[in-house]
Amino acid sequence: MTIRLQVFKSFILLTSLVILARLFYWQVINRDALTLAAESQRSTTQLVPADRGNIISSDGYTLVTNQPSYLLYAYLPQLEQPQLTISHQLAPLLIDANPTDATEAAKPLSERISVLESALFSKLTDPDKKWVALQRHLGKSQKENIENLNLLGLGFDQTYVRFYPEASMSAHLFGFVSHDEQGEPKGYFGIEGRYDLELRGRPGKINLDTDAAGRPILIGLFNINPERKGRHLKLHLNRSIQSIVENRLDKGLEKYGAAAGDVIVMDPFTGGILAMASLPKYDPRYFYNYDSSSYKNPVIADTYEPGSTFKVVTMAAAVEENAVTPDTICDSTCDGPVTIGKYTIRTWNDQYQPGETMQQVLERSDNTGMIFTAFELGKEKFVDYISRFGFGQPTGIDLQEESAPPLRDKWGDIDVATASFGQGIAVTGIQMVRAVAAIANGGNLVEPRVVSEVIADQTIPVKPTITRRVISSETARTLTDMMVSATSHGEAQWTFLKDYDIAGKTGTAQVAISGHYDEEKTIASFIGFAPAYDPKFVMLVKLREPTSSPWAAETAAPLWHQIAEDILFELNIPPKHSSN
Amino acid sequence: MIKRLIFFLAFLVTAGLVTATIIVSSTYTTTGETLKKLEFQKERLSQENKDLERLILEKTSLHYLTELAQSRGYVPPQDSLTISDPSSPVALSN
Repeated sequence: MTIRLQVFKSFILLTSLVILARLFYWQVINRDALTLAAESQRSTTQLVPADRGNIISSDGYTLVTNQPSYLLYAYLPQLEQPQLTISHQLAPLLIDANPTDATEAAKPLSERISVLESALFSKLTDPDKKWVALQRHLGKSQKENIENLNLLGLGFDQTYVRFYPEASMSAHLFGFVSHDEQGEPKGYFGIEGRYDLELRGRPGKINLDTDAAGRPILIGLFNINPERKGRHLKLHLNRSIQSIVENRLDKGLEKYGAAAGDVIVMDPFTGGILAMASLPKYDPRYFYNYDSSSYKNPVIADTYEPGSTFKVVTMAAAVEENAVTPDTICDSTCDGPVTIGKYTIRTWNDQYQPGETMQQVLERSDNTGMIFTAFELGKEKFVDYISRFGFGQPTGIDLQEESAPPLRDKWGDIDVATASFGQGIAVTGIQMVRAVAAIANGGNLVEPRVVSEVIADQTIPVKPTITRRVISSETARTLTDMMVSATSHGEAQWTFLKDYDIAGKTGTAQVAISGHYDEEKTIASFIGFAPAYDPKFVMLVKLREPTSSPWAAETAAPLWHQIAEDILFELNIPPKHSSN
Repeated sequence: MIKRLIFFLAFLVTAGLVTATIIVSSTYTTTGETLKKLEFQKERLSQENKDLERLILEKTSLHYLTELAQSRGYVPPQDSLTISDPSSPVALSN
């Protein structure tokens, strides 16, 4: 009995020691690893996505927001139905009814469905994979239709994509959202690119304890790191003016047979961009279907020779420096073609007006008269004013990808002569608008701005910035008079709005190709502001290679006036002689 | 007698604590379930709200309204008459 008791006691003691040793191992030696394992079993981390900020027009309408988009995937081991049946059922629901690609669109629907069906089947029968992505960018209704098929093994991943209620309005202005190297959403080009940090926000995290069924344990851990939603951006952009501009430009391109066209409308006092459109455009929703060269905004990234629209800059500089007045008479320079070195410069129509005034030089868009003006001003002052008007440097517009063609280092007589009438000098559309806005607003060079407010917890206004004063208000007024006269008496006089004072200038520039000017191809533009003596907007219309006529007076000018008429009506600006 | 009373009281306290633990645990479990449902509902309503916002944006877009107006036969104004700066209030001109 005693021995049996001793054995039993020893057994209990030994067992207790083993248990103690095991407990010591678990609670002391392996404590950290086990604590981690336990926490990972009951702790859950939920990611709270931060909505990307909206882009809002000046009237408070949301132009860009977010919408859910779905990725359809298949987990192959779970598929119950034959792959052929699944692909047959899915293909009609996944087919793009209106493909952007013209070659695809030309094919019959049945053929496109058949191709998609084959593609789906090959994905579903891939022997090397268990999980396959079948289609991205599905809408909510497509998801619901697929769910109604009750196909086991299919699932959806939700993401967010940008939603454009006004269709693809001003794609070049907005840019688009894609992904960075880490797969995080990132804005590219335009506003999305320039204001990516403000728009994207920061995702939040919630750490909490959950039970085996994933339900939260209320007495457990609960740490919350709230998300910071993306900031909203309110623009200067006027939705109605933007719509007018897009519609008119679209029709204008067709009417004048132009290869491309740009329009910028800006408030000359604040630099606020009221509208900006370029054609051909791309659809930011399906940017991946377009060539990457179409993403750049031509208005700020493409350079061109401005032609005669640049004459107002030359004239403004000369008037400011008292080199000429509107009544100054051109000397013998205007009597015929001007020869400088081996070059001979003629007027656009090869007609010459000896003894004409500077006012008439601008009205007739006389190249020889502009050479006289530039040489009266002097080479150094002329180059200085070109720079002071903002050419050769970025305007500072709050859009990604702005380019600023540098001015030449050395200026010969021929360079000054050609630049005086806008040839041999490269500018961007936004630089021209900014320069002419300085004449419209009384002499100040303003910084163009797209965004007027950044809206987060509080609204942060983006204040207008005046870069510098370029000319005096008196010179600005004189130039305005000259530009009004150029519009009403110049070669585009047949297009002008008789009931409004319009200050403007046409420009027809030849296109430089491989070091020489193409005789056939031109860039026709018209720049101006209205109403001339109380300007509400300054606008540039530029058409590339119009085929109905190479001249701006017959293409860009009438289009400018059509758009201006609509804008004046939209802004409720009465004509000079309205009925009482 | 006192020993029995103490034993009985200890039993009662233990039983009470066990019952309380069961009730509290059960309550927490069901509250967790309710909370999850509420969160799900909140998420669904928030999603619905966003869907409706997008629908309103679509239906009030110039793009949509222009197409709708055209389909109903409206045309842009061809001519306009602007009345401005009346020399005297229009209502009193007669």
